Amino acid sequence: MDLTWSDDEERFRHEIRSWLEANVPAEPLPSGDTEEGFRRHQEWEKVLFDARLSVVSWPEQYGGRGATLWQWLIFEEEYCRAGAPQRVSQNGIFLLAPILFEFGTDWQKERYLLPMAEGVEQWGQGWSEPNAGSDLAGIKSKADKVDGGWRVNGQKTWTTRGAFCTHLFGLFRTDPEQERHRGLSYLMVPLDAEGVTVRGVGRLDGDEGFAEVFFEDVFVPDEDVLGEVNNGWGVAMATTSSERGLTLRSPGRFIAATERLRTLAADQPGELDDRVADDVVQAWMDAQAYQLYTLQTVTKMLDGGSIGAESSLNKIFWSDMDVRIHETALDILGPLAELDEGGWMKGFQFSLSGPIYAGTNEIQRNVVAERVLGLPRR
Amino acid sequence: MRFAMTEDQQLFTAAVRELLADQCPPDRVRAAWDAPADRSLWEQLAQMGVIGMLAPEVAGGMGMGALDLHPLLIEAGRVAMTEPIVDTAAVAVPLLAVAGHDAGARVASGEQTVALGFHTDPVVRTDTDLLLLETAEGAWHLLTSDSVETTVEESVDGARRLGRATWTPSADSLIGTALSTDARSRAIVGVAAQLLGLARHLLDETVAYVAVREQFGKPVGSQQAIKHKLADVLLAIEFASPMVARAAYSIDQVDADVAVHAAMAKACAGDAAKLAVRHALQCHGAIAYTVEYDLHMWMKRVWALDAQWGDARHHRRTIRTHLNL
Repeated sequence: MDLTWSDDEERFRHEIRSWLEANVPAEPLPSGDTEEGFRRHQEWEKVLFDARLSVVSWPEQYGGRGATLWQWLIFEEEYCRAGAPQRVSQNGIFLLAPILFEFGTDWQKERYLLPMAEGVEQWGQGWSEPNAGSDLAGIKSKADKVDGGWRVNGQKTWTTRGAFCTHLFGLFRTDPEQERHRGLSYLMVPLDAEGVTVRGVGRLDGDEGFAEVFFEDVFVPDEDVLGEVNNGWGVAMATTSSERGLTLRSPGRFIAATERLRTLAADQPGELDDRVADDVVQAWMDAQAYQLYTLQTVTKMLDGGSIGAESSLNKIFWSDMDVRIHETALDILGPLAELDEGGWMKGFQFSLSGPIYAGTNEIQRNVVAERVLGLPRR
Repeated sequence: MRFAMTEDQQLFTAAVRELLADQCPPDRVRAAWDAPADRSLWEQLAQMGVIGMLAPEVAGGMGMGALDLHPLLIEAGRVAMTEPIVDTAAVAVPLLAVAGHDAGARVASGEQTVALGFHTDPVVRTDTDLLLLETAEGAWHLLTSDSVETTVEESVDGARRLGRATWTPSADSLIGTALSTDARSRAIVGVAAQLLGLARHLLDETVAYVAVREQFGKPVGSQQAIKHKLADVLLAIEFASPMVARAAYSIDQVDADVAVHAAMAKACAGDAAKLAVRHALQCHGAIAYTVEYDLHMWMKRVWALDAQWGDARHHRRTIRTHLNL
C-alpha cells in the first residue's frame, strides 16, 4: 500500500492545475444540454483538444497523451476542482471510444477517434427503446441485410443530447430468427443519414437535450458495424460496464461537489442544525469512501484484474450518493432552493437521473445479488 | 500509488483465517457465554506472531504495522472471537513498546492479556491479566487486574465480561502521558476492522440461508426484496473496507489526519455492521430471533462494538469539527 503520488504524477497535476487556472472560463457556460450551451461546450472541447487535454488517456496518435489510469484520475480530480465545463463529448470518449479501441477495425479507429477527440463529431447512445429500458434485450429496432450494408428501421429513445449529436451508436436486431440478447449487432449511424428523424424531448430539469431517434429505411454500410455481426450484446456489455464503473463518474466530481456542499453549509449564518450538519458530514465521508474504493479498483485493474459485476456496486453507490449530496444542499437552502440558488435545484433534478440511467439501481441490485453474492435467479 | 494488500499480507491473513475457522467455531463463542475462554487459542495466535506483531523485533515482535494487523482483526471479527485482541495486540503492544515498559515483552509473547480503559469508558473488560487505564488528564497507567476493584456489569453480549473499575493512579503505575491520540486511533480502527468481519459473517450466513430456505415453492433468496437488502449490505461493507485500510495505513504513516481517518473508518464500519444485523435478522426471519441459533452472538457483538469508543454519530461529530461546520 502506498497512498502517495510520484514526482511525475505531482508534476502532471501541477501542469493540469496551472492550465485549468489559466483557461477555464470565468463565467460558467450555459448548460450543455441546450442548443446554445452545447455549441459553446463544443468550442470548449476544441480548446481542451488543442492543449491535448480532451482525451488524456488515449494514445498520442488520436489526440491523447497516453496517460496512465492514475494520471487520468488526477486529471479528473483537477478538472472537477477547477469547476471546468461539463464534458458534452463524454458519451463518445468514455463509452464508445473504449469499445472502438477494443473491437474497432483500423479503418473505424482512423475514421472516428480524432473527430471525437476534437469534439467536432458528437455521439449519442442508442440503447433504450420505448419497450426496452431496463430490459435492454427486448430491443426491437432492426437492421436487415442488404447489399454492402444494413437497412435500419425502428426507434431509439432517451438519447442524451441526441438533439445536438452528429452520430449515434447502439444495438439493433440483425438476426430476426434469434431472441433476446442473441442476434443483435452494434452499429454506428450518422444522424444526418437519409431516413433519420431526431425529435428533442424536454427533460425533467428543463433542458431540451434528450431525444427520440426514428429510423426509416436508413442505410448503414458494413464498415460501420462495430465488432462481429450478431455479437452486439457482448460488445455493448463492455460499454455498459465502463458506464457503470469507473469511467463516467470519477471521484473528483464528488470530492468537488461535497467541498461545495461544505462551503454552502459553513457560509450559513447562525448555528447549523445538527441533523443537517450530520448529513453534510456523511456526504463528505461518502465521497472520501468512493475515492478510496476507486483507488482500490484502479490498483486491481493495473494488476490485470477486471471489474465485472462489481461495477454495479460502484454505480449504485455514486448515483445514490449524488442524490443525497443534492438533497442536503436543498435542506440547507430552504426556501431559496426553489429559486435554484447556486444551481443546486437543477443539479438535484439531474442527480435523480443517476439511479435510472445505465440500468436502474434496482436492476443493479439484482446483478449484485445474483452475480456477486450468488443468490438464485428464480 | 497503490491501494492493495501485499501478497505476504494476504498469505498471512489466509493462514490466520484458517486457524480461526478451525479453533474458533461458533461453539467456542457460545461456551464463552458460560465461562471465560481458555488460553489455547491465544497461545496459538501468539505463536504465529499475531499478538506481538506490532512489537519491535528486538522485543520479540515482528516490527509490523497497523496496516498488517487490520486484516487479521477482520478475521477475528468474522469468527466473533471473544479474546481481547484489539485491546492487547492493536493498542497495548505498541503503547508498551513506545513507553519502554518491561510488561511489553510478556504481553507481546502472549503470556499476559490486556484490557483498555479510556477515561470516558464507563466499563472495562475484567477477563484480562492487566488493565491499561487512562486518566482524565490523558496519562496512562498499567495495573494488574486483581489490584483493581471492579463491580460486575452484564453486557448484552454474554461473552464480554465487563465491570466498573475503581482505581487510583500512582507513580508506580504510570507508563506515559503523551500516548492518548495514538491509542484512541489504534483502538477505533481495530474495532472498525472487527466490525467489518462481523458484518461479512452476518452477510455470508444470510446469503447461504436464503439460498436454501424455501417458501412459496422457491428459495427466499430469489425474491427481489431479499436480494436488494443483501446487495445493500454488501455495498456498505465494500465501501467501508477501504476506509478502514486507509485509517490503518495513516496510523503507520503518522498522518496528521489520522484521527479523522480513524473516525471515518469507525463510523462507516459501524453503520455497515448495524445494517448487516438488521437485514440478516429480517432475511432469516424468526429462526434468527432465537438464542439457539448462532447468529444472535454476532448481532450482539455488533451492538456492543458499534457503541464502544464512539458510535457513528459520535465520530461524525469529530469530522464535523474537522470540516469547520
